[in-house]
Order: sequence, then structure tokens, then C-alpha cells
Amino acid sequence: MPKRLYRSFQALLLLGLCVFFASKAASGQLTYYINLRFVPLTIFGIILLAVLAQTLFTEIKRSRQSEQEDDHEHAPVSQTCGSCSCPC
Amino acid sequence: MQNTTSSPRLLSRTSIITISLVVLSLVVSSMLPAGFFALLWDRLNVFATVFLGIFVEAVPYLLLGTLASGLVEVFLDRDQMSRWISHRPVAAAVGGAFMGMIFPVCECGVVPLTRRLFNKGLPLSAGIAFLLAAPVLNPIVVLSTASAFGWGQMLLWRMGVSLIIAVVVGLVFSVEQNAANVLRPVLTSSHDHDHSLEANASFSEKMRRALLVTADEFFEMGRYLIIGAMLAAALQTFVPQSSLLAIGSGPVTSVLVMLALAILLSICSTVDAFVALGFLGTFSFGSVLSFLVFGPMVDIKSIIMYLQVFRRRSVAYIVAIPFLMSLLAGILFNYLQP
Repeated sequence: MPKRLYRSFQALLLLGLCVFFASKAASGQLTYYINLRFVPLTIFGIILLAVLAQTLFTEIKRSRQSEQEDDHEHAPVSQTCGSCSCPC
Repeated sequence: MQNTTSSPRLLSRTSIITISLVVLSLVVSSMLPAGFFALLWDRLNVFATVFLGIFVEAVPYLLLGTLASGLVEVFLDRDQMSRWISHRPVAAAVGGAFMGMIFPVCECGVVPLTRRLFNKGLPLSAGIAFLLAAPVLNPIVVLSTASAFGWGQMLLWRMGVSLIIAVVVGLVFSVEQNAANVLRPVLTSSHDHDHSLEANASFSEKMRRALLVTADEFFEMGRYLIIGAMLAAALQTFVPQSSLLAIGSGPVTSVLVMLALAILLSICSTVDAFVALGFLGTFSFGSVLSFLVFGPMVDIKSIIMYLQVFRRRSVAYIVAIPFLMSLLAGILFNYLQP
């Protein structure tokens, strides 16, 4: 799979996970799954997921601008992104 | 002249198999009792809830671990690592175990971090000791155990026994001189191009690279976390805890049951103290201690993740030695402190 497409899948999945966690936190459903005292750590996780997604989007933009995309193969999308999309 | 072209078949073999399977499933479902699908739906709901419980609990720690791994990859070089960690087996194992006190990672986050440290030249004994000790000795787990059980014996013995087990397993692995016999070949074989940075790269460039490594690592280890969480959720859904709890009440069987529960429940080490507190009325001190010591080292999801870093035989040792030592410790405490 081309690197830019792979990165796009990763970024979208990270954003999806971020939205998933944020919606659980906003609706108060997070405490169905974890102890109340660990909610701040999940909030930190949401921020980190957003930062990672933003970094990947910037990376995609950079590679498009520089047009120096290396065309090596990454692991099949079904293996990594596919399984990681299960919870969403 | 003989005509070799065969007449076109009406249906392909795949279609015939598909239609047969559909008909068979319709026949079987018509023979099942009426409440079966309602029960199955209920079980699936329980499965989804348990799975999400494990996943939601573990993801922030996996993120922390992969972030630490990304930072190690970019900011730490092999020379620094070899300066800090002794290569003498005992010192390396003890140093590795105490290194666990610094990193706030549970059993999910510690696996990618350990793998990265191995890549940076961490000795086997130190890495294994770190892998087993960090989920128990890290500051978050110490605080959560203290808030559940107080600053008393349970906390002290949990940390002490875990430290001993981690050092012993580290020493066992120090016998192996060739790391390739213990570790799996680098998983990133399909990704063997150079990601190294120039020495004079700016801080923001280094951070950008660290975050990219974090994202890659998160996806790589995340899928095994999901598979492990699914397995654990399936076992919890279809093997009720009550049947396990009914088995053991003696000094030995109770420890065995708690060890089985530790594997089955796959609770994050940062919260397992609160779950263990609930067992204290039903089970003896030794049984609960063995649960608290063994659970963070080995559970279903961590076994799946270990298999991505270590060879199968090594994983067998990493599981078996802590199991036997936790069992022994639990039985010993049951007799000394019933």
C-alpha cells in the first residue's frame, strides 16, 4: 500500500478512536467501563490521539507538497488498520 | 477432432457451497429452541461490554507506552543505553527491575517500550526484568494499591514478591548469550528503510518523528491488544466467574483459582487492586497476593503481545516461571498468614 494512503487510514482511525472516546467521556458513559479516578488519564489519551492524528495529517500534507513520497510497501491495511477499527 | 472444451457449469463450486451452507444454517436454526437467539444476543451484548471495558481501560496506557517508545527511539542512542545499564547479569536484572519504577506503564504499554529498549541494546536480563516489574512497581500502581489496601503489608509484599520474580526471570534469561534465540526477528522487516535523523535535527523535527513512531507502534501493538481483549472478553462471557470461585477454597486450590482469574480477567495493573479488594473477604491473603503479583505479569492480552516480541519458547518461560513462583508465594503466605 502506498505510504500516503496508509497514513491516511491511520489518521482517520486515530481520529475515529479520539471521537469515540470523547463521545463516551462527554456522555458520561466512560465510568461504565473504568474507575472514576482514571478518567483524567483517558482525557490525556484523547488529547494524545488528537495530536497523533494531527501529526499524521500534517505528514500527509507535507509528503504531498514535497512530492517525495517513497513508494515502499507497508503492512496490509487489513492487518493493522482493519483490526484497530474493531472497537469503533 | 475431439472437442476439449467442457460445457459451462450452471453454478460454480463456490456458489454451490454457499447455497448449501445457507440451507444448512436455516435448517439448524429452525431446530433450535425459540429462546436461543435471545440468549445469544444477550451474551453478545455482555461480550461487547466486557471487551470495551478492557479496551477503554488499556488504550491510554498503550498510548503512554508507545509515546515512551517513540521518545526512546528518537532521543536515546545505543551508546547512552550501554553507559547506563550494566552488562553483568545480576546488576542488569536488578537495574532493569528498578527501571520499572520510573516508567508509568502497565502491562500493555510496557511491551512496545521493552521492544524498543531491546532495539537500543538493552541486555536481555534487564529487559525481561523490566517487562515483568514495571507493571507492578510503577508509581501509578503503587498509589492505586496503597489507596485500595493502605500503606501496609499487601503493598509491601506485592512489590517485594514482584521484584524477586522479575529479577529471577531476568537471571534465567541472562544464561542465553544470543538474543536472537529469545527475541523474534524484527517485525518491521517490511519497513526496513532508514528513519534515522541527522544529528543536528531541530527539537520540533525530533518530536514530529517521535510522534510518527508512536502512531506506527500504536497500530502495531494495538491490534494484538484488541485480539487479546476479545479473547479475554469471550472467556469471561462464556466461562462464568462463579464456576471458578466455586472450585477453590483450600490453601492451594484458592491460589490456583486466583491465578486462573488473573489470566482470565486481564485487568489492567493500575486498577486490579480495587478488584482484588473485593476478593479479600472470600479469599485468603496469599491468594489475593498471588493475583496481584501474577496478573500484571501475565494475562491473555499480554501473552498475545509477548508473542510479537519473543519466540514461543521464551514466552513459555515468561509465563511459567512467574506462574510457579506466584503459586509458591501464595501457598507460603496461606500457611504463614491464613
